[in-house]
Order: sequence, then structure tokens, then C-alpha cells
Amino acid sequence: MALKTSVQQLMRVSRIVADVFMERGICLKCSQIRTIKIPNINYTSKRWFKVSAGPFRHGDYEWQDPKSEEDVVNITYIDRSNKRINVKGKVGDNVMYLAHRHNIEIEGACEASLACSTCHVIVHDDYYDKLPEPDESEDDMLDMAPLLTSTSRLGCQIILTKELDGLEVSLPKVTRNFYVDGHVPQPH
Amino acid sequence: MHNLRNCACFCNRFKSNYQKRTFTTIAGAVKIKEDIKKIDFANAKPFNEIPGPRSIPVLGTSYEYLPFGPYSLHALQDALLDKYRKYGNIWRETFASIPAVNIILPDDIETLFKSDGSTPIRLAIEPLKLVRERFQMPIGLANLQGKEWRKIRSSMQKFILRPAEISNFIEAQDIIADDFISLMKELRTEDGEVPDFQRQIYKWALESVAAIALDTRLGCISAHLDPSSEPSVMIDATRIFMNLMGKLTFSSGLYKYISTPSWTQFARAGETLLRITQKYTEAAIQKIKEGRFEEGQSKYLLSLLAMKDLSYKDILISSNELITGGIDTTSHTLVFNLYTLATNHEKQEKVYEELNRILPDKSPITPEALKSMRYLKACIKETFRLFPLVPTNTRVTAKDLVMSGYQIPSGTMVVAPNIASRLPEYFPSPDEFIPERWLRGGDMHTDTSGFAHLPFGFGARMCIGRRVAEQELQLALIKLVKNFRIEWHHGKMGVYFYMLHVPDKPARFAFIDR
Repeated sequence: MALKTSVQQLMRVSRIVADVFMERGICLKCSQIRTIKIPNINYTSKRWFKVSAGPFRHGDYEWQDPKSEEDVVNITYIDRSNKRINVKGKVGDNVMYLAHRHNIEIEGACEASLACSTCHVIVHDDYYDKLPEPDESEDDMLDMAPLLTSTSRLGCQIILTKELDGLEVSLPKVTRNFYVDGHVPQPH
Repeated sequence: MHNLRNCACFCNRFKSNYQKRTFTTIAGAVKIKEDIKKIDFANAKPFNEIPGPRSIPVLGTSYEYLPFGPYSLHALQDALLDKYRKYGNIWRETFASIPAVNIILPDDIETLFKSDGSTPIRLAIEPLKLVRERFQMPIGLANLQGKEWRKIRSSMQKFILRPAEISNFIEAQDIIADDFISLMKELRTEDGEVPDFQRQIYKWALESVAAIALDTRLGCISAHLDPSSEPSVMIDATRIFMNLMGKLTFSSGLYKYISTPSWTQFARAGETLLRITQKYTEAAIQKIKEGRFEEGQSKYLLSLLAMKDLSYKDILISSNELITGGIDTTSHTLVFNLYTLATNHEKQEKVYEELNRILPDKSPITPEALKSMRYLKACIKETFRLFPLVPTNTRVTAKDLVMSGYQIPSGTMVVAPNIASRLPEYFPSPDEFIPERWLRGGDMHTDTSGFAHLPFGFGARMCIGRRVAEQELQLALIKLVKNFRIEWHHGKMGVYFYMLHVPDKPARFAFIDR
């Protein structure tokens, strides 16, 4: 029995040795790898077309001012020091990107692609029910948000509608603790 | 709008976070934590006191995986579980000449990911980086760091990670899944098995990912695909590329200095893939120049080409990366999913019932329908728990942290193995397939931290192909379960590790007509 195992071990070792010399070892035949050259195509002048982009896409939509009074949606952010910040948003604005425009400390590390929970906000009870139900992928991320409440949502998933006029969202007080060195979260 | 389901769901979630402390004290093995968490860096135990196997010069601790050592690299998960039992929640290793700290506790994993900052650092995949440099190409999203990484990542994730954009691909993926079913029906033998089924799955995976990354239908889902045809070459090249990438990553590193045969083969496969990607990218540019791109088709490549701050080479590499990363991953995950459904018939019937309820007869698959398939999604999550495709999540810390009471200085490589999901402390009866544990608001819902199970990673560097892959899988599984009763008669399936966990048995399922 002992002999059998030692023979097996010996075979394994010899395989490794063979592997080193045959496979990984110095094989002069193919010691050179061709470098392929792929030319860089310049086609900047042809970038004239636009891909249809919804308001959800880039975060630059939020930088446009509302076109008319009808478009305006008022929203109040309550920041970590309990300061109320009133913002005039518009229909179609994303709550996270709108906060970035107004220098409100919401991070948003994954840029609204639902990969983190750094834009976690707590929605005022009166407005929570007016929001569309969260998607499962949002719930998954929310589960990992610190200081979760029963009216928590991800800011990047809230799109303003006329119905949401007067919306109040507060930033969770805990996020600060993660930035022990007093770092202020920056939008990217 | 605030219906009962929603309410239960939220109450449960609220509870889940609130009860974290009680939960963890029940689990005897896991001593937590609230006190430890309060320890600041200066008062924590020094880094050197973290337990772990003895490190020797040159080899580090990787001798443990050599022939005489106790572990095999191909059974990495067993090795990690064993080390967890031996050393506890945290241990040190020096693997492939990189010193690393392994952490298991979801709370530590949370600390790690929450310290990410705006540009998290992940260790580069050396062979991949080297081969790209040799080709004088950008090193790609997986290897980039810092601002450069952020630029490419932002451009890509706009189109393939945001849930709102992903529904654009449903139509294309739906047709591909249908083609796949027709192919299976054509090839199926009398006993219901599809000969060389794994190969057919690769075809499906390639076709699906190419429809997005190259904006092209390759048309490779056919029974008589010529082995020398382009799609066949792509499949072979990807398999070689991924396999050798694993081999080279865990090798002695000799390939960095001389061209070993493995390296040469790896570089050739990489070149083939790059050439083919180049062909289709140029075709897409031609299309733009001539103004013939159709509305409604999946537009990933076109959208990237329209972005001003990306160079042609950046786009080429991004498509190339999606192709190479999108075949081995999704195809093996599909096999694992089929296996768990085939070996748990009552769960498979439940999926079938859900499908019939949400998609009666031939109703088209809409984003809303996909959203409401909670049971199917729970099955996929549960399969990931039992068969994690990627063994670990890694980060290089960007600041000083405290984990399990030890100092983790900035710049340390931290590995979070996906094994908490296999421990009874976090998931009761961990070896059983219980999709119900993922149903929020259900009786069997497991109140465990989300950080105990992260098959795609978390945060700004989460797998960029996640949503595409998930949707692809959902569509394929919908079609498969709707058409067939899936059976498995070949014993227990295990995992084999090379760089991903792949099935250790050929995918010989029996597909019986419904």
C-alpha cells in the first residue's frame, strides 16, 4: 500500500518535471511571439450621429433648467447635518444626479448602474408609496446599505414625475462613518 | 401601490439588518463583532499576528498546492474551506508570490467594499496584461486602474450594466434562445441527450455575446457548423485563451521572461480573437460611415463608437474583453443551473408553473415579465451559491482598515473567497438547493448579510457583464424549462477550478418533451 502511494507520488513528480521541461521549459523553436500591429483608425469626424439617450443615461440632463413652470418638480434634500436644501428639479430628473448638480453629498460610485448602495436615501413616508416598486436588483443592493429603513431607496433609481412634487429625501446619517478621515464623498 | 408583498418584503428587510447582531451570536463559530468593529487602527492587533501557513522563501505558501502538499489547486474551494476551519475568519497566505489576507466574515467583506472609494484597485491579471502590451493595445478594463479605468468603465457600463438599458437586448437574446432550442431538438437522440451538448452551449453563449459586443449575428447556432469556420475558431480560441490564462496566472511566472509553449499558444489565441474582433469593429465603423445602421437593433458597439473620448483601440479591446469573458462564464453557469434544476424536480416544476403563469402560451417576453419571475431568479441565485463560478473577490486596500480585530494597512491585497455562502452559520443546510431562501417575505427567507454571497462582486468594480449574463441565462432557462423536462443520470456533479469553477463532468442532460 505504502509502495503504491509512493510510486504514485513519484509519477506525479516526474510528470511535473516533464511538464517543466517540455511545456514551460526552454523551447527554442518558438521563443519569439509575433507582435501584431493593429492600426489605429481615426474616425472622429464621422462621429456625427447620436444614439437616442433617455434622461436616465448620462447625468447631463439634470444640468438643464426646467423649460416651463409645468415641468418643475420641487424636491427637498435633508443632508447629514439635518439641513434642508430645496431644489427646483424637473420632470425626468434623476434624484442622484440632481443632487450632484447642487453639491449635495450623495456619492453614487457605480454611476446609476445598480452595483453599489452609495446613493442610498430615505424617502419621506408620504412620498414613498408614490414611487414605483423597487426592482429586485435594487432590493439586492439596498440590502447592503447601512442604516436601512423601511422607506429606503437608491437615489439613482428615483426619476422625478409631476406627482412627486414636494418630495423629501434625507441622507442616511451613517455613511459618514465610513469616511473616518473626514473625507467628503464626491460624485464621479 | 404599497401592496402586501411589498410590505412584507420591507419589514423583513428592516428586520434583517436590525437583527444582525442576534443572528450572529447564535452562530457559535462566528464571534462578533460590534465591539471589534469599534476598535480603531492604532489599537488593533498587528498585521503580523494574523494566523496562516508558514511562508518560505521564493514559494511563499504556494507549496501547499504542489504535488506533496495537502491541497490541489483544482479543488480550491475545498482548500479554502479547510483553511477556514484551521485558521478561522482571517488568515494570511503568500500565493503566486503575492502576500494576501483572506477574509470570510461578511462584516469584514463589507468593511473592505465600503472603503472602495471612487476607483477601487484590483490586482491585474498578469498574462492578460502582458499579451495586450505585446500587441501594443490598451490593457483592458480588467487590468486598468485609476482614472483610465474610470473612463472606460463609465462608457461601457452606461450601455451594458444599467438595468434600464439591458431590456434593449431582450429581443435579440430571445431569438438566440429560440434558435438554441431548435438546434437541441434537431440534434437530440432517442434517449433525450444532445451529443456534445457543451459545444452547443458554447455556440449559444458566443452568439449571445457577439450580438451585443460586435452588433452582429454570427449565425453559429447550427448543427453543421464547420470546425474551420470563424465562430468555431472563436470558440476554440476563447477556450484555449481562458484555460491558459488560468495556467499562466498560477504558474511560476517563467513566461514573463521566455516564450514558453503555453505562452505562445496563449498569445496566438489572443491574436486570433483580436483579429476577428477587429474585423467586426471595422465593419461597424463602415456601417456608420455609410449611414446604414438600423433602429431597434442592439447598439452597444455603435453607442461606444459614438463616444468622443474613446479611441478605436479602447473600443476594440472592450469588445474583445466581452467576447473572451462572456463564453466560458455564462455557458458553465447554464450547465450548473440545468444540473440543480434536473436534480431537484419539484423545484423545476415550480419554475415551470411560474413560467406558465407569467408567460402563458406564446406571449412575448417583456421586461415586466422578466422582472416578475422571482422564483426563477431565486433558482439562479441559489445555483450561484452552490456553484460559485468565480472563487474569490479581491481588492487592494486604499486605506488602513481593521478586519476581525487586526490591522490591515493600506496597499494590502485582500481576498474574499466566496465560501461564506457554503457555511451553515450563514445559510442553514448549505448543501441543499433551496431557492426559497432568496424569496423576500417568504417563510424560508434567510436573513443573512448580502455580503455573505457576492457571485459578481460589489461596488464600482462589480462584474460589468452581470446584467447581460443574468438576462441571457434567464431567457435560456425560460425556453429550456418551457420545452423540456430536464433530467440528469450521471451521478454527483462537482467543480473543477482553473481560473473559474467549471463542471467536472460533461453536460449530459436528458431533455424530455413537455
